[in-house]
This record gives sequence, C-alpha cells and structure tokens, in this order.
Amino acid sequence: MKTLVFDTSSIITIAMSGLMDPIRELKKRFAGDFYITPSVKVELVDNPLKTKRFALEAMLISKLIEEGFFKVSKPKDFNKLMKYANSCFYAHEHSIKIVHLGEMESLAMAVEINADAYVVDERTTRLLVENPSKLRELLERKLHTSVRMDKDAVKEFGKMVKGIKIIRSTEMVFVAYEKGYLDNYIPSRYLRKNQVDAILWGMRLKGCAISTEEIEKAKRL
Amino acid sequence: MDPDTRNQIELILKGTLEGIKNNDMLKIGQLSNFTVHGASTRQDKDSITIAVLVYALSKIYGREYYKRQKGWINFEKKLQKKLNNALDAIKKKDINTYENILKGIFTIIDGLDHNIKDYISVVFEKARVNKASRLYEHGISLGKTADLLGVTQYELMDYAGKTFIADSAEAQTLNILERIKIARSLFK
Repeated sequence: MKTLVFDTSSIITIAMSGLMDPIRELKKRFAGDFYITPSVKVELVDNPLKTKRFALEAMLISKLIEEGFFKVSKPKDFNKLMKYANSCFYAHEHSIKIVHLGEMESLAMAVEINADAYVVDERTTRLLVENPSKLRELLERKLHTSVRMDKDAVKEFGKMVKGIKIIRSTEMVFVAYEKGYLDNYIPSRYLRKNQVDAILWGMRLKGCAISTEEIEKAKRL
Repeated sequence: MDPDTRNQIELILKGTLEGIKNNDMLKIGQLSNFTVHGASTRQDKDSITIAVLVYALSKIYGREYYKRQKGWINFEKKLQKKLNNALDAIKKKDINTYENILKGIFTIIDGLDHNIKDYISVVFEKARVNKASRLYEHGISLGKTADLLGVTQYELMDYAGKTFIADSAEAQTLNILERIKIARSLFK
C-alpha cells in the first residue's frame, strides 16, 4: 500500500488555496493512504477552532479526517528524532530548538511506515532533512552570530531520516494541474504559463515555501 | 531568568524609554529587530514577551493617529510609568516584580476608551504574528514559532507567505524539477 504523510503546513496551503478538490482527484490516482499524526490534527483543527478567523477551515479539514481522506496515526516513537533535531545547532552555547512536535511526529511517522514521500511546505524541516549545513548558514546569517553545528546530532538525525523523499503541496498541485484536475476551475483561455504562475504564486502567498526562481522554472516545464 | 537575558532586557527597556522620550521611532524599530535574535536562540518567555512589546510600541508610537485619540494621554502616562518600573525591577534583579509589571502593560489597554482600545488591541495581536514570522525567517520552524508566540499556523503562514522568506538563498535544496519528478512518479 502506498502512503504519503503530511505535516500541518502542506494541508494549510492546500485548504487555504481552495485546492482540496484537485487533491481528492489525485488521491484516487495514488491508490494509497494519506496520513497525518495526532499533533498535526491538533494544529489543523483543534487550535484554530478556538479562534474565529480560521474556524471554518478547521471544520472543513475535520470533515476530511472524519471521512477518512486523511488517516490519523501516531508513530511509536518520535522523541529521539526530536531530540537530535533540537540538538543540531548551538548559539552562545544555547541549543537552538528549531522544530516542534507536529513536524517531528509526522516526520517520524513517514520514517516508520516507509512512506513514499513526506509532504511539508515549511522551510526549516525540509532544510534540516535535505541540507542541514544550509540551515546553519541561514541561522548564522539571520542571528548575526556564530552558530555551531553538532556533527554527531546531525549525523544521527541524518541516519534516521535517510531515504525520505520530500515534496511540497505545490508539486502535488502541479501534477494535478498536468493531469487536468484543475480544468474545471481555471478557464482555458489563459496561457499555461499564466495558469501555473497564478497557481504557484497563490500557494506561495498562502505560506508554501517555494521561491520565485522555482516558480519560474515550473512555468517553463 | 539568566544574566544574559536580564542584561539584554535592561538595554532594550532603556533604549525604548529613550526612543519614546526623543520620539525616535527608528531607534525603537531597531530595538524591535534586535529582540528577535534573543527570542530565536533563547526561546524563553521573557525574551519573547519583550520582543512582542517593543514591536507593538514601535507601531503604536509610529502612528500619529493614535496620539489624537481620546484616552491617549492617559494610556501613555500609564505605559511610561510601567516601563520605568519594569526597568527599575530588572536593574534590581527583581524578576517577579518585572514579570508582573510586564503582564500589567498588556492589560493597560483593557481600561482604555473603546475607540483607542480597539486599535491598540489589534496592534498587540499583529505584533505576535509579526514576531512569529520573524522567528520563522530566522530559521525556527513554523510549528515551533507558532507555539512560542501563541498563534495558529494558519495565521503565521498567511502572514509569512506575503514576505520574501521563501526566496532566501539557503532555502533552495533539491531542484524543483527533481521534486516534480518525485511527485509525478507518485501519481502515475
């Protein structure tokens, strides 16, 4: 059985961009399960339900969970991953706690079930998995101070997440677009490059960490 | 509160009071940016509270409109008194008193006339989201910053998405074409 694990950020982008219907179509083609973890559910549904501003989005997502579109499951252990992730970088001899429960719980889930991919839109977790040195550079540049990378922690973390493939909601929606699942929503009179530009910029403005350069590259495909 | 944090807060409070006295909004703005570094690394309640407060003050004092509202003089008088008291407490290393005064600053607005209260409440709310976005910009994850600042990830993504955070050079890892290939292989 194929599986994808989503973190909070990727589902927020899709929901806030009003693109859940094309993702439903994509899931039929996937013929597998979409997973989230209990902490992600709290961040997607329980927390925003306490506010007025995003309570509607929370309710819409809770419906998707109730109908099984997203299955909720907890990994056996995510504490080790969390411990290593939050011990990777030090500034002024303080460890910089860079990640939170939802992100590590879902990443641990992806590792545990050997998911086909981990879908995450936020930048820090992606950097930590794919290129921790770049994350150190970013921290150092933004904090205007020397940041030490604990090589042992980075190595252990790297071992645990080895082989994990990361995609963002933008890549999923791009494939949905290629397959024609957005044809009912976007009039065909607009040029393809303008449609792709509108879709990807719309998602970026909702919070997906995709760069201007990446959007330009996708438009040329 | 560790000595580094205490020293930093003392500097920030001194600078903020000077900025207010000299109507130097640039200085308060710079102090607000400076607070993000401490909040990003230490991630303690005190560093985060002062970061939110100074940012909110930079916005409140930066708008002449607020100063024309009924209730402004009273608000400003109470605020400056509390800031001075907070500075005295931190100098004396009386952390409990300092923290109580800070809590009090956030509640001054409850006693204001509704016309100014509404504006200032919004500024304080937005200050939390702004600071969360700045922490995310500094490399702390979305979930972590949302939790530290007490905002939802929806609010934070909505705000951060309208910035240039995604364009930072360090954010580029795998080529998007490779990532699209992975996505295509999943949904054949």
